[in-house]
Amino acid sequence: MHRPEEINGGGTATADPGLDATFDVGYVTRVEGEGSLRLRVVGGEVTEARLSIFEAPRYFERLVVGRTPDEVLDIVSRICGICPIAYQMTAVRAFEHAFGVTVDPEVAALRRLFYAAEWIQSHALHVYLLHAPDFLGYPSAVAMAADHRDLVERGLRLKRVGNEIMALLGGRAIHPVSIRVGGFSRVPRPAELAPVRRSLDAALDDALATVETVASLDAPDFARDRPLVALRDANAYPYADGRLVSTAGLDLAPDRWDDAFAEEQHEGSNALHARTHDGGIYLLGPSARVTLDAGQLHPLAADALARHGFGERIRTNPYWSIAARAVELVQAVADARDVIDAYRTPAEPRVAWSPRPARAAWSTEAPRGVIFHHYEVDERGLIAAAQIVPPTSQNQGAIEQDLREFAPRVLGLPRDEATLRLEQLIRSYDPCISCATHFLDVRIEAEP
Amino acid sequence: MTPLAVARPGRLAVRPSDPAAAPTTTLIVCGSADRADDGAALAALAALDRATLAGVRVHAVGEVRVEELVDAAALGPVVIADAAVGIGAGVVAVIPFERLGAFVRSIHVRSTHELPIADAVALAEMLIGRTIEGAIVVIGAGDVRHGGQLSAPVRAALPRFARTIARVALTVAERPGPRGPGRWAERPWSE
Repeated sequence: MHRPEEINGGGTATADPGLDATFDVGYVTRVEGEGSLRLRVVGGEVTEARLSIFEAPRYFERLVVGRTPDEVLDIVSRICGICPIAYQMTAVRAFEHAFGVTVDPEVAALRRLFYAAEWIQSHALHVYLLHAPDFLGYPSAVAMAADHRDLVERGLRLKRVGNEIMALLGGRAIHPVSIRVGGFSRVPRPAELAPVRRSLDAALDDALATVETVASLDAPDFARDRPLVALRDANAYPYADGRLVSTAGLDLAPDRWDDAFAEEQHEGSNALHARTHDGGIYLLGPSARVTLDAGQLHPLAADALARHGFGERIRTNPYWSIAARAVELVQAVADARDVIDAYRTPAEPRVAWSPRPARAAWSTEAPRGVIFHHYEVDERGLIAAAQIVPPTSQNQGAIEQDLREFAPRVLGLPRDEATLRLEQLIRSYDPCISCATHFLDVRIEAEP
Repeated sequence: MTPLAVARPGRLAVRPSDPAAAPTTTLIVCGSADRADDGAALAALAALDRATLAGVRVHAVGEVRVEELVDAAALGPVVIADAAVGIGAGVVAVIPFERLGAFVRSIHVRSTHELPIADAVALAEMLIGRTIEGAIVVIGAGDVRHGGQLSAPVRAALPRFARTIARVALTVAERPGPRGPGRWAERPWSE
């Protein structure tokens, strides 16, 4: 029987060498969407770890065929209730790049504010309501709130600010409707942003307090070494622009994701997995961004990162993704303040454009990592084919690989405890299974 | 969409409220109109004469967020209308919040919401320091595929679903007697 301290220890614990079992978690909780985990163990060795995604397959790549680029923006926002802006921003940048559209700099700045708002609400949700209970030893945010009401209230305050900005710029907080090719259907007057700007001052205090709270947490020692992939923008911390780079030396234009990566079908999952062309597994998300783009962090976020020496832990240990999200909360809030302070109403909310037959492709940084869209636009200006690659399906290989490595530490524990430990690891990646279906159910079966 | 198990007959219970307050009921309508039966609550709202809901704040949202529940509960009772899996397609059920936690504890928690609906309600109640008066009105979903239309059983049950949403939204705020339950409590929870 393993004790918790062994699990959190040096990584030497192993399953009973005589253990033959299949471990199933029917529904993984506190993740977005529906999925399950099955571990097959033979002779104490985990021979298979499968994160099965069985939420109803989503046919968005087919739904957009025959639609106009602006219609695509409205459709793809429906893929996810947590990160609709990521889908819209990736599609709109793909079309604008393909059609040679240059937006007004103030519109570009507003889009940065829009994307930052999504990061704020998504990261606040994950840090406080989904992930913090794991670190503090509670089964849920509800149970945690009984003892740490202040934490939950802080998380909800941050979330509200993100919601507020998204609703203001997007027309509504969920599935926004304002982004158009060439700009926005409507842009706010500076006076309309004033209440949000006031909220952001308090949000910055909350974001900085989040970093301090996260610094006080203790995470299992589980060092990994794999390529990290993110965008790198020469001018700023990356949201919707920059080149695809990796810790392994990758450097690609944001429309050339498929030059290095490809999707493949995996049995038991409605999501496609992504690999490098030579079959390599890689990791996206806040940890990758903070590692690869530390030099572009806002001074307040850079100071928060340096003050606690999070850098190496974020690079190597998936559990410390919570620290990366905390640093990015500071980044996004500070960015949002800066955008509003410098904002001047653009002459026109959007510029005119004309469609043309083109390959329209782009990558942006969703809260959970790089998202890639590729559309083929025909001579009528309608979509002929589409490929949408969300971050979770790209991270799925890394999640399964880490589960195979981590599982032997917990398989000797009672079933409920083992399930909890495995779910905690999965939650470290903040999988958005709704996006990838493209959820979680953990199963261990006895082998004959 | 809210995943539920099979609804069982029961009775609603209304908790006493502050007689000095003038509560406003908030109706939170959840779902995605482009995901077949997941859009049933939105379709039911569209079918209702808004005059029927006079005095009720109506919010159409994709999913319930804790912060919205906290805001709404500060004003008065809350009614959530949503589609659900785990009950038969077209079956309409009313589940008071006070029974929601016990109800979902017996089933797998599956949810397309940020937090499972019972967790969202429980968390909101903890934050405001009291129970939230209200209920969730659900209709069993048969088909939730993107791009699909309402299934036949849900389409047929839509008028009843709309009437139930309106009735619960309008009666949940009615004052109970000083010691006894109000009219709302006299209705069976499974329609």
